[in-house]
Amino acid sequence: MTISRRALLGSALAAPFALSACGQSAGSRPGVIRVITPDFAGTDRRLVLEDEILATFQGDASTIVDYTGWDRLNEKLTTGIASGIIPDAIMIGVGWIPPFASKGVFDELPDDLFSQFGINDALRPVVEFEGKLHGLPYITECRMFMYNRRIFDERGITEVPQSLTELRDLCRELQDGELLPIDIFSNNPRQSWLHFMAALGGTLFSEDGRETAFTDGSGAEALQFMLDLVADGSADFNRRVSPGQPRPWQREEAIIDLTSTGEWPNLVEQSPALITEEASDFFLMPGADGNDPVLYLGGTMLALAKDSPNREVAEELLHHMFEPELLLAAGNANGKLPPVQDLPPDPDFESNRMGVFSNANYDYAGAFEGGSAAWMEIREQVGPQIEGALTGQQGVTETIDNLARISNTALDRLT
Amino acid sequence: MTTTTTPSAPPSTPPAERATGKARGPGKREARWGMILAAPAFLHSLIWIGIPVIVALGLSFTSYDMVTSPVFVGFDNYANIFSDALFWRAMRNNLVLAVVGIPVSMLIALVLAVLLNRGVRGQSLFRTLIFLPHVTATVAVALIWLWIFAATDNGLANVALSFFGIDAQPWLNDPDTALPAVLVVTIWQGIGLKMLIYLASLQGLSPELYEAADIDGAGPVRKFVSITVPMLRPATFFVLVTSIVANFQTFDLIYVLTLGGPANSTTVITYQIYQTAFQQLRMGLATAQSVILLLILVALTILSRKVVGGTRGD
Repeated sequence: MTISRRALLGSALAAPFALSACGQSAGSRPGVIRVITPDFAGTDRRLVLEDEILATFQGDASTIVDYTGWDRLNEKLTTGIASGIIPDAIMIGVGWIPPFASKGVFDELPDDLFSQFGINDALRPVVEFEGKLHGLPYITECRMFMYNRRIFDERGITEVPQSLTELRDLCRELQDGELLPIDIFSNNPRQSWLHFMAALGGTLFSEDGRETAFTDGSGAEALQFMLDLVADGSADFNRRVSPGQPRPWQREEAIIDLTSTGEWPNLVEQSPALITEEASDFFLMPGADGNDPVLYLGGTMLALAKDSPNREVAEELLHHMFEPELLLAAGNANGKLPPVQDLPPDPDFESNRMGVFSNANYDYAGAFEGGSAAWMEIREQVGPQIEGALTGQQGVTETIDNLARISNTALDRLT
Repeated sequence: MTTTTTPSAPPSTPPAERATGKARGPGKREARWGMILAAPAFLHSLIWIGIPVIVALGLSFTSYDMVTSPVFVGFDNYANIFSDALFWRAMRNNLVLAVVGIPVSMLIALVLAVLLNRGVRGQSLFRTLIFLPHVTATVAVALIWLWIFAATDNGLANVALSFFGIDAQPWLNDPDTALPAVLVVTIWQGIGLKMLIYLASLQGLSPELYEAADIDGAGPVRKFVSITVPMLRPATFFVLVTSIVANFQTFDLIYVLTLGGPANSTTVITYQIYQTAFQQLRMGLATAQSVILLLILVALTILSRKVVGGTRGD
């Protein structure tokens, strides 16, 4: 058989799409719920998900779990969507709901689920798209300041700061000797900037997610505040550590740490002497003068695929997974927190002082990533720009201008 | 019992037939078998290289987010690349790693190969130790170097500096030192394979040449410059081309060590392509970047051939 060049090229171009079509039937299928999760890594955690949470589900379907790391989740999810293998229940990060909901991947959920499950309404903005619920906060990870109480006591400091001005003053007061007053850089710099910006009343995007909002002055002010801490000698970008390495606070080289509940399991394992009530305590990011304090909200959200052939059963599974005992099991296994505050007694959760503190402060959950369908395109470009300012490569104005250009270009592409 | 049969010698092609260039009889059969035997490799290349390259080329003219259908955008992606400062910064970083790193690692590898070729004691052990970084998983290598370059006083590099009274350096946290730090790792990791290739080539050199040089009164330096280096030209070409390609494929090291930072100071092209494709979900732009990378690699390979003189040893 003779194959013309045109036919060959045509076949070559058609092949991937044909394979995609084949993939459609290999994806979700009735009676089998596919769950994709970036959490529950490691045998013990898998057993919690599979044996405690999913095995007790009485719905009319079996479950298959697809485990992946946070760093590969986006890649795995999008290649899955491209090839038609869309999981029925999808665990994703904060900020991911609008980009995928806008493309019709995530389905709308009943509006009363928050009240049904007793989830704090302050967490609602992270799972909404165009004012409608497209997911639920499943297990959260929150950021706050953790401080070395012994050093505070030694210096006679009895009050935690109530405003950003007071925070800066406190850091100045803590400047003596070799200890770093505050470590705000071992965190992701993008998230630290967002946290400070929220304290100043700023947001990344307008409420409808279609306009850049951090250009109102709050973005520049937040970045300048971070640079002021460096200029004061209170913070040092050069002393940040890579993820996984012991943080300066753990090595007792820093007095205050902008840290996350995700660090608690490491602290329990590596620095047990530092996490007792006598040794440490927490405070929220104080607001700018007159503003409320701010808890940064991250963690794992749960959404359901719009085109799932098991849509109803998947929602039954969602109800099952939001049983308080199972939320506690999921949270404890992953060093994260249930999104609900009315919880049954649980020694594991109660021993997580950082978790209990955050859970009690959900009312102040005012800082988070995303808020626009364009966020995925912008997200990874924010950190390098912030780093550019922190390392003196560019000024605050140039940084905010660059971020605005990146943001506006991505927003312009939204249909 | 084994019976062996002596294969009959293939009938020689008549001179007249050879002159006309017509392949008949056994020659034609041989050609057919050749094609049959080459077919699996050809099909493999077609399916896993040819088709993806063609599809990528097609996608590079589209806007495609992997969720909605591709939209034809003409040359927009290529125009975006040429005005994208970050892409060219990544290209510059790749070139720095190549222009500085490859010659340095080649030189060290050549010297080590020459030393090991002299039959030093423990040659096998040294060879294994030098080759070890090449076979160690890059992620493991990067994690070890993360510890070496840790910005704290406990980082191994800073401990070494402290012996000389030098303050701790923020290696991977400072845009001015991050790329040189990455360069050190790439040089260290690249020496093993290059050394092995040079060593294999050295062992294939004819001793008669050196004997003749000895008779002519040539010293060790003269022999190295006039015999060893020219005779290693095919190996040098191979090492150069594979090093350039490997350099432009650097990804996992950057991913674990620096994530391209701080402030994009260590970003490289493959990392940018990954970011564009799987973080920003701009698959069309990412494939256009890949096409540009392919063209650059082809150009560099041709240039290397011109400079080094190809695979011929003459």
